[in-house]
Amino acid sequence: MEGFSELFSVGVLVPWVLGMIFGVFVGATPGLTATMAVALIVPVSYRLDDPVAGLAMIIGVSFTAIFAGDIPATHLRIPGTPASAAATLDGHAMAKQGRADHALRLDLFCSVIGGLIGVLALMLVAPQLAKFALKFSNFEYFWLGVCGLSISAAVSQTGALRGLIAVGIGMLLSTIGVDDQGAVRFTFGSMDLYDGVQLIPAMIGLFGISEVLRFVATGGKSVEATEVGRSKPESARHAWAAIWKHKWTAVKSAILGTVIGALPGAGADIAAWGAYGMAQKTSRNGKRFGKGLEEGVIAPTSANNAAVGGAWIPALVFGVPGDAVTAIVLGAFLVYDIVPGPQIFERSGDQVRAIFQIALVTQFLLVIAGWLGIKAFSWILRLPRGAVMVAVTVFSVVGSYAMRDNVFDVWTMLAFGVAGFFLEGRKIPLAPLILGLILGPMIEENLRAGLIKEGGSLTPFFTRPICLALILTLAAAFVGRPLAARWLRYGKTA
Amino acid sequence: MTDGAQERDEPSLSLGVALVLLSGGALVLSRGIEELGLARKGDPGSKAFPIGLALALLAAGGWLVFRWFAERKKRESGGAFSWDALKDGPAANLSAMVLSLAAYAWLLGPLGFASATLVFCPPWMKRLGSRWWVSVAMTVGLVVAVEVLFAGAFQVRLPEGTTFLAIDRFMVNM
Repeated sequence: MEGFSELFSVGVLVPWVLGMIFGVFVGATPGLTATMAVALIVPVSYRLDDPVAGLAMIIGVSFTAIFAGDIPATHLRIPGTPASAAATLDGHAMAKQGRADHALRLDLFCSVIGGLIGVLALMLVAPQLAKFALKFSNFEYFWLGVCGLSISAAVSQTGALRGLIAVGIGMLLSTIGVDDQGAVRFTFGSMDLYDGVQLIPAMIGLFGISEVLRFVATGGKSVEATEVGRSKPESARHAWAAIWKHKWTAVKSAILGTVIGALPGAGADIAAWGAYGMAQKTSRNGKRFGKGLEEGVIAPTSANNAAVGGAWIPALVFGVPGDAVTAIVLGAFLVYDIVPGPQIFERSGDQVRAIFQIALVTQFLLVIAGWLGIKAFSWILRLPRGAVMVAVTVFSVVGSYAMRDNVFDVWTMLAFGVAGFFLEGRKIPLAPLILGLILGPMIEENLRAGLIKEGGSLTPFFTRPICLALILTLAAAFVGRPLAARWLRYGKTA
Repeated sequence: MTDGAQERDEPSLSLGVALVLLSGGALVLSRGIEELGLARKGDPGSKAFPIGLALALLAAGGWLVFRWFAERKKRESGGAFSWDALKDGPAANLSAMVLSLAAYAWLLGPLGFASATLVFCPPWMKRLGSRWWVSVAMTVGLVVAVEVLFAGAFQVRLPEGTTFLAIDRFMVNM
């Protein structure tokens, strides 16, 4: 990786921009999600000759799809992605007042600001954290994995028990295959399972096929919405003036979004609600939130894109993804031989620099891709939704197959799709399941290595200072949950 | 983002049963895991972790089943989308979709990607609201797009179909 100049070669720029347009399309289509967008683009990116182009495609999609989710949230009061749910309040209220274009420009520019702050935080914090993480041994990594999974379960919207069940299922599935000692587990004699469950087909199934099944099961009602009328024309300068007026709301929300994004399992949706609640509490116009206030648009949208950058901090440094989108990106990084951990900056320095540069430039490209998305939304809405879902099915099948040219992966994808649909119907969150699948081996390997080192003694797991700090964090996640839930509920309803 | 304290505590029989079956199966199968005899002092071995997880899931599943039976009298029906609330139409659609997805995956081998997609997509697009000719046209466009993108640009060897390969071979040998 030479520097920024390589990013602007045709071989990188074309797939990058195409990926971002795909992200806009998926994010802006009600019923499709940012997670699905990233899961579907990974097999395509993997096939590109230039790994920088592949990384650019994945990173571009992950940021763009989060913004694009705000478009249907504003126009139709249906979020394109869970991270855009907060945009259904003031954004949609502004749309009803004929100011949809203004709300979406605020969304777009604040997404760029939030994204830049999140990426800058990533660039500044991750290398320092990596130096600190060099002090970690098996004991600390065990607790880090446990913390990541437990926090993702604790902040799950359907309750900690369901979150923990999801984590347990994911971890149990992660034991399939040959373990680090060479023992064969749960393969049913199939060589295809020796490498364990393939992550990308599993994620495509969980987030792609399960959504298709939900669409079919509800007869399309899962994406029903009410459209508002035409928007009055307003200039971009007007939007910038509004952002300047509320610049501290944007900056504070982006910082909060980065911090929340860095918490495992919290993700962009919680970041958006948290920022909305904070803006409401600290604003002089708190009581007018939800009625079409500019601050109510600026806060959540600054936070949700910042959370994407924030989520990459623990993902790169510890291999602990912050949310489902980051989990998929992390899986893709592994495909590119970028192994997360404290030594990532030494082992894969060039690739990490490329990732940082791509993430930064993506924010500026987002202005173009986002503008196209805003303009193309009425066209996207006219597409027959059933046909789009069938097309998603075909791309899910091809994407799963293309990873290893293996039909077995298609079966894996379908099994996870059906399981994902069933579990979501029972309010089991899917993100902790994916995190369990990814972090399960890390937890088991570090537990075994730690026990072997100490001749079977558990004492160091509970007495080393960083272990104690992680255990306290874990306890705080569960004790603090009711308080956080109250804060979030107040943000939504007051 | 879903919200609702009421939904949060509602026990689910189907989930409980599924967890019991999953974890019970894992416990039975874990008996067949061979320890390789390399175990060192303090090593819990290859069985311990999956068995521990399976026991935890078994307990969670058992708890959900117990609570479902304990609370069935005071339970109210309704709520948001749920498996049990599906009516005949959607349930039939769902079963048909799952079966046709399985058939599609199975047909990829004998028919190949293009033919299997042409069999799978148009009926579903029609059933989900598109006209016949639109469904067929969109499917053809989809197949061409996938062939160009994956097979053409990325050199993915999409399944060609053993049936057609056999016919080809037969024609060549004739």
